[in-house]
Amino acid sequence: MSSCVAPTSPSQAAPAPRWGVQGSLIQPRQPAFWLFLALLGIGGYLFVDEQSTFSQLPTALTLSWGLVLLYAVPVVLIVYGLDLFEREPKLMLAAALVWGGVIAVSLAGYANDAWLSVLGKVAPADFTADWGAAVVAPVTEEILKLTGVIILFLIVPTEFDGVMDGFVYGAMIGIGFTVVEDVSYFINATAAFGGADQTGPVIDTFLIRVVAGGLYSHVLFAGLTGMGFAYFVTRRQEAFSRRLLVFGALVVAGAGAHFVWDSPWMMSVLDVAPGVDKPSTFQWVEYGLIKGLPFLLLLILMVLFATRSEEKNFRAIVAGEPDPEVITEPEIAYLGSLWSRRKARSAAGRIRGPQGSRLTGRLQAAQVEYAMIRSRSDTLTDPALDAQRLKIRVIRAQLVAVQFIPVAPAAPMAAGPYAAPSMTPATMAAPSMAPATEPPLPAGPAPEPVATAAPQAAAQAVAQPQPQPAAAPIASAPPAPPIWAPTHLVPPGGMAAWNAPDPSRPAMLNLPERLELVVESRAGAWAQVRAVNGWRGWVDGRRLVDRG
Amino acid sequence: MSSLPPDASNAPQPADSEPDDSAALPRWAVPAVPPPWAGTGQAAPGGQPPAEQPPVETAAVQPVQASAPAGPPAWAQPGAPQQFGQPAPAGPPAWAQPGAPQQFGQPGYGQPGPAGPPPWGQPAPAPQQFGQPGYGQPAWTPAGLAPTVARKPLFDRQKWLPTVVVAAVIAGVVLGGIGLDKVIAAPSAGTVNVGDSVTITAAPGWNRVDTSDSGGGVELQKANVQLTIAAMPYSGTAGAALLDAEQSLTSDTAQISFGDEQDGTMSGHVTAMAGFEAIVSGSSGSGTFDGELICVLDGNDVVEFVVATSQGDLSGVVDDLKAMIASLEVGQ
Repeated sequence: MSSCVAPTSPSQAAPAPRWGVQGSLIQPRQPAFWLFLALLGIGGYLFVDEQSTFSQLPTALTLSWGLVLLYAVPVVLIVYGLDLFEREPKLMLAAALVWGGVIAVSLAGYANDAWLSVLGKVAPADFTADWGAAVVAPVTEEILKLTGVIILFLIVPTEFDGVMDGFVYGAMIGIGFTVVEDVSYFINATAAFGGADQTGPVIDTFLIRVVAGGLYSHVLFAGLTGMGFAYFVTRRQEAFSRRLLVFGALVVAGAGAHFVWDSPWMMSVLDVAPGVDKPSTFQWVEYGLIKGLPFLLLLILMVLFATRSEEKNFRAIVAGEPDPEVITEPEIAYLGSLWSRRKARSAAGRIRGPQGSRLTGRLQAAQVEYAMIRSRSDTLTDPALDAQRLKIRVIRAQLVAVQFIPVAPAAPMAAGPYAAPSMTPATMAAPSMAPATEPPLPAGPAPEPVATAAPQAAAQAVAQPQPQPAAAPIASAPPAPPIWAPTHLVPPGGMAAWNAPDPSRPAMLNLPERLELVVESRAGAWAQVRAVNGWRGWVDGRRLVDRG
Repeated sequence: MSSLPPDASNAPQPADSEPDDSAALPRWAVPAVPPPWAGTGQAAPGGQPPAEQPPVETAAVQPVQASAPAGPPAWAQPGAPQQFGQPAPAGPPAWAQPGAPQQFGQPGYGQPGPAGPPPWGQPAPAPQQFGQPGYGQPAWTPAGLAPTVARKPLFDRQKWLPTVVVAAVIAGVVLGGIGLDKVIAAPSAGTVNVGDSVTITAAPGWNRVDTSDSGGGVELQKANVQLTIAAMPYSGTAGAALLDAEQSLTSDTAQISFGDEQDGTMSGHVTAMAGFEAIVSGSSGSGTFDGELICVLDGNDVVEFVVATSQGDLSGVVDDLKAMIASLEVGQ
């Protein structure tokens, strides 16, 4: 039985988000859009002015941008990749980066100076000297970054479907902020050292701010606050007080992480032995771990929570899909994280080679795209949905047609620990296109007979590991010959197969199209065929396609 | 055994029970659950395998069903019973017709009913007033006629308030800080005597801080920036004075590294300066500091300026430093 996605009754599930409807940043009817443009003009002017000043140290400036981009590009890709199902529009992500790197950081420079000066006038001098930065910067900078998330929400509220969206936009704003701020730190360090050496101070500061503390920077702070805001505006099924509480808690967590990072606490970690002029990179890493790791763990937990929520939304969107070939429960589970997706691709790569891995990746992308289309379709008969179903089937057919890599019988299970019991090399060669037996998405059990099939039962069956249902018949099957040289293919549309060339018996199964077979013998119109895993059966030999 | 495969015309019937040799079949080979729209392929006894259609419907790889024909499906026709999950058919349902009472639970319950003529016996609507909204529009729209398309407002009115609030918050953070800083009087140390014969005028916002470790000099502070000024007789060059000062600072601060020396003049005074980076950990203050050491030579005196602040905050006081160095006077 194929484990197609069980439909969910409306009373059981929250309304599925409309992921497939993507909004544009260009929204002239939204006042927030014009506010964004106005602030971009101000911030852009300040940004250009600062960078032109920095250009007096051209080598340091070039090196600084090179180093921060070395750090920022992978972080951007990771954040983008963490948004597993509904990828945000690129223009919106660019706007978030620009907000952080051009608007927020420029305004924060003035705000910090002003509020530090105010603090210096009203607070004791010692307090201001020691704690001024820790008190002022978390407040001003986190507010300015969070307002970026809010403005993006006001421009395109439909792009905020879950907590993950808040993380993505917050983190992007944080990346933009930290990149430009780091460049200014590098240049200031170079200038403080007279500017004669334009590489040493840059690299030293890079080691401190990025290598040691890069994980605990504005990406972490703004990611937390952004998630808080997204929780507040998207989880409307929860009580207002609870949403407000979570929002406040995450904003406090983000600002608190910033406060701890800027505070003079734990400076003793950086103490050096007599005769040593500065702490080692290891000390800086230790310093960063102590001050930033707890908040980083909190962020990771929140991201996991958000991912679960996204998976739930994905499940709600694809629920009720009548075609079991589109996506199965195990496949949904495998789509649930970057790690499991990669694992599935690797499993496919081990047994079908690089092409199998690539096709599995394409299958995963097509299934996510299917959910996008489904979320914006009002009916299951939408032609776009049909087209996507066809695309998925074609990929599955291509995947099945990929030649297996021979695996020694005594070898351990090639598909890795995540492989289902049916994932022995023999079963992976199965002439079935049932998704539960597909190598790249291997968590599902072997399909059940049609007569006992029920979608709900299938889902339950998938949830419970089965004691190797396919093992017995596979073990009793004759071993496959060492050289696999298929002579024929199953024609388009598939074809029926019999256990014996006896027309009084019903056909036992249907072979999928493009399945490779060897014709071993013929009896009139009947042909006895063998599949790669050793399975034998009888088919209408007249319909077989000669491989030529 | 070797009779012809079943023909399509006499396809075999489905078996009621599992075949006796089904155990020989791998379970994976059993086709998946067919989609609901799929037919029930069958196999009939006798003949040969079907020529065109497989006798067992497969869920594995089926050609995609043809797209739905143009036009609304049957369930979407007005009057047809609505099916769960399907969009509502075009046209208003019966309960939404003018005059029909609203029913609880129906969409639109509690909303104004469809436009229609005023009921018989009811007072007519008030005459339209020139200049009032809707002047020139019919008082009611007959059912079935397309309503007048309302012009969209230039801006989304619902978003005005939150946008203004956000703008106010940003302005409060930036402009509020700047304004408050200007409003609160900046107590300045004014003219400060450094040593016996040197005076400087502290820039606005710089306060004198009396600490025990200022080394006989004067310590000023503005926000989180600390400035120590010391004056002493000196007969060497500004560069030599800078080296001496660096050694002194190095002995006082375990973790400090200096940049290259820069020589020049500032407001007519010969100067030598070097940037530094220091890590301070102690009861009097902890953190990573950026700083600048400036030695100003004036006659037989050298005046040392040591400015230090949290990393990245030094650039905000450069103008103040220049102003204070320019105000430096050496008495006779």
